[in-house]
Amino acid sequence: MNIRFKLNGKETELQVKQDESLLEALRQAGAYSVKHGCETGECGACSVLLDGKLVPTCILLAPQADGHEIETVEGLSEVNTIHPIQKAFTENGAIQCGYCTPAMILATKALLNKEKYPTLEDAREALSSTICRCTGYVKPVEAILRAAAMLRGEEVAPIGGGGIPLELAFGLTGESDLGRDIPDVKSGGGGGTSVSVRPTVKVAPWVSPEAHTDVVGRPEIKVDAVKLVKGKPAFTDDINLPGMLYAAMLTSPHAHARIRNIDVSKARAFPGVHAVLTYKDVPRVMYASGGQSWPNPKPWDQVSLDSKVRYVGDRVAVLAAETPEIAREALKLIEVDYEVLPAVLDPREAGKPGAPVIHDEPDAIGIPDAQRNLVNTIDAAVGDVEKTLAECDYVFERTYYTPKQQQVHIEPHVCITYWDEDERLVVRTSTQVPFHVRRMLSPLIGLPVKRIRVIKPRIGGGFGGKQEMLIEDLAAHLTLATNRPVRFEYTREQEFTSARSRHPMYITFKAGVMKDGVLRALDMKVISDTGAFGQHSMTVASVSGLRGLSTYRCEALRFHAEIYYTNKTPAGAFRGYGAPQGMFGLESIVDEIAHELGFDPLEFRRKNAVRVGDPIPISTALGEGGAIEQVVLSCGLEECFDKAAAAIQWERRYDPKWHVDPERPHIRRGLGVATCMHGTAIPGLDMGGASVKMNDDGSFNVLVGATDLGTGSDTVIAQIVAETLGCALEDVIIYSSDTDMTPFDVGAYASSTTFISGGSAKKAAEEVRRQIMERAALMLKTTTEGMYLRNRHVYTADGRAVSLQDVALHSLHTEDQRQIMATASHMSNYAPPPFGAQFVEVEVDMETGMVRVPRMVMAVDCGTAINPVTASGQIEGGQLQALGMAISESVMYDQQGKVLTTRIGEYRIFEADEAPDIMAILVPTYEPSGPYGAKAVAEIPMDGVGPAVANAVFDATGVRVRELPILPEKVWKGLKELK
Amino acid sequence: MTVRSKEYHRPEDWARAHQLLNRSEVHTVPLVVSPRPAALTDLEADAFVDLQKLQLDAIHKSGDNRIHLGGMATLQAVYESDLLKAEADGILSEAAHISATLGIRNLATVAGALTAPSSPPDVALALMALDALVTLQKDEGRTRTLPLHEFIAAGDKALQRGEVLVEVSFASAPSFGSLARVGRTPRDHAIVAAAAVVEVSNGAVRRAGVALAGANPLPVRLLDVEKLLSGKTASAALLDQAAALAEKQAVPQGDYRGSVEYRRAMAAVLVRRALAAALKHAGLA
Repeated sequence: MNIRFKLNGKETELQVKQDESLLEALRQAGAYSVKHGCETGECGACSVLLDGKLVPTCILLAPQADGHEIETVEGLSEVNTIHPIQKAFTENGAIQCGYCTPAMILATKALLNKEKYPTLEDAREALSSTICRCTGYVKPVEAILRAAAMLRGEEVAPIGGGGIPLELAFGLTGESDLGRDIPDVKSGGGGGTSVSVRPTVKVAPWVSPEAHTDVVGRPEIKVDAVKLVKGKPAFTDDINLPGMLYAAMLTSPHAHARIRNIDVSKARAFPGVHAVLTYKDVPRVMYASGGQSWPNPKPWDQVSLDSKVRYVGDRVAVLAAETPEIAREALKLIEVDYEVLPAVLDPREAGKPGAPVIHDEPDAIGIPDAQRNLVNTIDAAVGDVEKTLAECDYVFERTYYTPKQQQVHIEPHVCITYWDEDERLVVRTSTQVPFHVRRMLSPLIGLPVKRIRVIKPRIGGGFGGKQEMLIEDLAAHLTLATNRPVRFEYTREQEFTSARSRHPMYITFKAGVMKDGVLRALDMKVISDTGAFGQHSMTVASVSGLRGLSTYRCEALRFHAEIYYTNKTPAGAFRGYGAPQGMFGLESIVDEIAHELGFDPLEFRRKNAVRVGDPIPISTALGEGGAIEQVVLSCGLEECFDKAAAAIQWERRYDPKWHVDPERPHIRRGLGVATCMHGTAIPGLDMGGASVKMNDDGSFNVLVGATDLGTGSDTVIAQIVAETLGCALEDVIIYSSDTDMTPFDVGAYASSTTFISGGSAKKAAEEVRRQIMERAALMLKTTTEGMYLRNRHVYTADGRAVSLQDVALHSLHTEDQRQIMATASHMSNYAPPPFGAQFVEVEVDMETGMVRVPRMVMAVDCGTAINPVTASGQIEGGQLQALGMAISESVMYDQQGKVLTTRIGEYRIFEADEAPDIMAILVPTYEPSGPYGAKAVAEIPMDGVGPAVANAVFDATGVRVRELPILPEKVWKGLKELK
Repeated sequence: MTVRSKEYHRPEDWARAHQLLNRSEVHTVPLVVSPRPAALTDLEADAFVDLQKLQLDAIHKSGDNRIHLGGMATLQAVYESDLLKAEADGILSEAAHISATLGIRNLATVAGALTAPSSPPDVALALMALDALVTLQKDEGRTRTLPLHEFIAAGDKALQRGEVLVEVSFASAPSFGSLARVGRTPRDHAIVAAAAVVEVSNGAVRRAGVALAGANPLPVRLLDVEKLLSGKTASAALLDQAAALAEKQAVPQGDYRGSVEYRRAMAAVLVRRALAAALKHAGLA
């Protein structure tokens, strides 16, 4: 049928199917800003203004729009123009992955159309139906207020950034300090204490920061912000290839079953179906789906399609058809005869005699004890734990549990595969690991690496969920089977049933402590639930130990992990990667000890925390990249504690009156704290490459393998290059993550991109700078001594200057012609820890047990924040994601292994008007091993919220909850037990 | 064998709408969005009837002092309605607001909130406490009106095939109300929730409306509690008795968000809390 409506002011006529969604129809019509995030209206990414009202379009039939007016962000601006709302979002750093940004812009427009002077509450309310997983809503809410002021014609202040003083700057003309030998701090290199060269700025003693940077440390606007705020077709699914087929996947309804027979004849015969694949049709090649360096850690326990299913949601068959509707119908025609097997859902039961064996296939590689469902064990020790525990005045032992949190990136897993004109397979995919995907895909589909090109467009969030080759193999198999482009996208339900999650863990800590509050020994045992497959399981468990045993000085440490298969959706990588699990245990037991021994929990932490010069001995025992000794070279933890404690008003903890509310007698207030310490990249393993070339006008193309998944890494890398080359950020054109075009990079994980990929970009830029100086010396008939680059010019020691454009023209066209360019890569044997202090305030309902968090404050030492706006955005958004794990988020199963939380609303992610006040404080230090002093910031915000909330609940009520998420009933039960 | 599109109809009048909805050969349903919307691909019907032209979205007060909400009035309209904000401390506005976020409230309707079994219970609770009546229309000449709590109690059998929920109404009266709920987060589908509305005269409760969700298989109106309160002056003992009655009648189904034991306990806590707040608003506490 035909429908007519006004689209962005223009009369539009579309031919639609009567039962297709308005979302599909609008995207078919080219309105790619309207995004698919779920099918139930709950994420809001597909929202438009329908007759001026914000509505999700995935739950509207296209014909319902007939006769109405629709606005999308495509209608807000033209080429070279920008709407004030878009401008406010851009300037304010309100855009991270940008997938939900168009919906936020429209929500803002609807609000400002009727309210010229919106309040903070109005702004939060307006964004309430747009779930954002990146920002914690902090900067988008601010952007709304800024947009309102702009539309009222008021002057708005320029964005001042988050807090790093611009005078903290280094290395303008010096050689790279990356990769140089790190002084031996312990044996006198720096005396083991930090030296304050400026108030509030602590740096390692051998570093002499320079006085100024022009680009680094500034709140530059993200290089991709404008296209994202305008809703340009920048994401994987924003293309429509001729002849493209739509894939659909049949999944297992059983937690554990053998496929006795599968009959696809009816599905194959269905008109419009081009291929149906089962285990009978694709080669059986064992692999591990986690996107990790070669050779992928074992076990290799998956095949593309198998004759056995191991969880509800497991792959059974996949097909490609001409329309999504045909694909869905055809799935129903596949007949499967299952032999249902007993299932095991609890990792503590999975290893017991009589438990069903989940991996009984003979060809799995590297499962230590498949008969016991044991995927791996890890053991590491420093010192003699038993002896030290025996010497301690007190020994505490507690067990904690962390849940199966799901990433819920708003853009689902999506990929499009096709043959290019050279008959090479192109994989356009939303991935964090394009180079790993190319290598891992090759054996599964029987094409050499050189015949595969992986392109990563913009990603609508990943959080580790896309550090995985999750669906690319199936799409590729279908393109190989049909010779047609194939689009494969998960539904939201499949994201919950068939994607990945955080590994649930039982964490037991035994801690030995002296009367004076000195911790001496930590003994940590972990039981990890990897679900049906083992990808990432060993490394995630290892990181739980690494992070659980790094933060406090102890003479004896021991770690033991057992990882078990269960008949649940496989776990995988998720921001934090084992650290939130380990840190929940550690920061809970530390709090318990402080309470029992009568110490202030903050002072107890200060007393025992590591500081500059301390070794991190457990990292030697557990390091993924080999045994490399790590030492703390920069540490702003003390200042993090000071600033965040002041912001949360920690002293209220000791005011009995503050804990009660006379107006609400059933409410008790509390404050909690947690120390955070993370890593930066995997030492001795993570590597990234970068190429920099100079153009005629003095601009630079930068090609990096690094994978910006919305965090702003393209921007940060471009800032590093611009700083090094003395140009403006807009002179750097960055292109990332295309296996044909850019150098290799391991991908976006392990908090590595600024440090590793930024390091490679800095090295390449330094080599380009050297070539520019040589050319300038040739032009000015002088030497390079004393030369430096700034303000798009090369300056000589005697004060003369030549512009970068003149240098480029001279080099490309005039004399001794050559392309000024360089490629470099970077790897680090050192993984500098960022530090943080997390504080939360809670209100606990003493009758229902419900916990509300009005305020969270986190101070982070990430070294130099290359871009304080993107860095603080990471800290704000990470805290809210972590709060989800603390309060509500957990994939839940029934007794048959069926997922109960298959919708965003049921899974429960904080909405904008439910979210607390969130504060991020940047505590600048200078990390000598990082580019311009930077270390990581991406994952550390996941580490402290869970324990800080549990500790605050204890402060409020006296109830110690050792199991996340802290559902109301858990607190209520604790309160009953106290009585 | 091909994929056949489901039908879409937008009738101009009720005669055509009912003609479509009452077809026996084609499973036809009205397009009604719940505050917990279903995916379009999960809608079990062969044809959809869009009621947008039938002007079912009014919210108004009639001459007999009753407030009428059209079945297709959106929850956002309910939330924003000044008329409703003035009734029982705006309990219905609050219920609409907590049921869904802005975008969904712009599509979800009163009918959606009351007819989809998995809907958040808040709107139904508030309306039951307001002693609402619901009007269902099978054909232009065939309407039936029944108390909302009876309609809710009938569960998925409440609506006959082809029937449309056209209106909910309740008597406007000076009254006080409160909604008490517990969830994982503030807008979570309530684990347990209670609504209370009281009208007072001469320092005593003249009429009370109390409804509870999450402690029984379906949301319920607590007529015994209402009877207990009627004519009484407020006291802690009275609230205790009301809470005890609520707990006693509870037959919860436990799940991962709340066990049977917890839900039963919360029935008492939240009924007491909702009543206490309503009585406090009324100046009786």
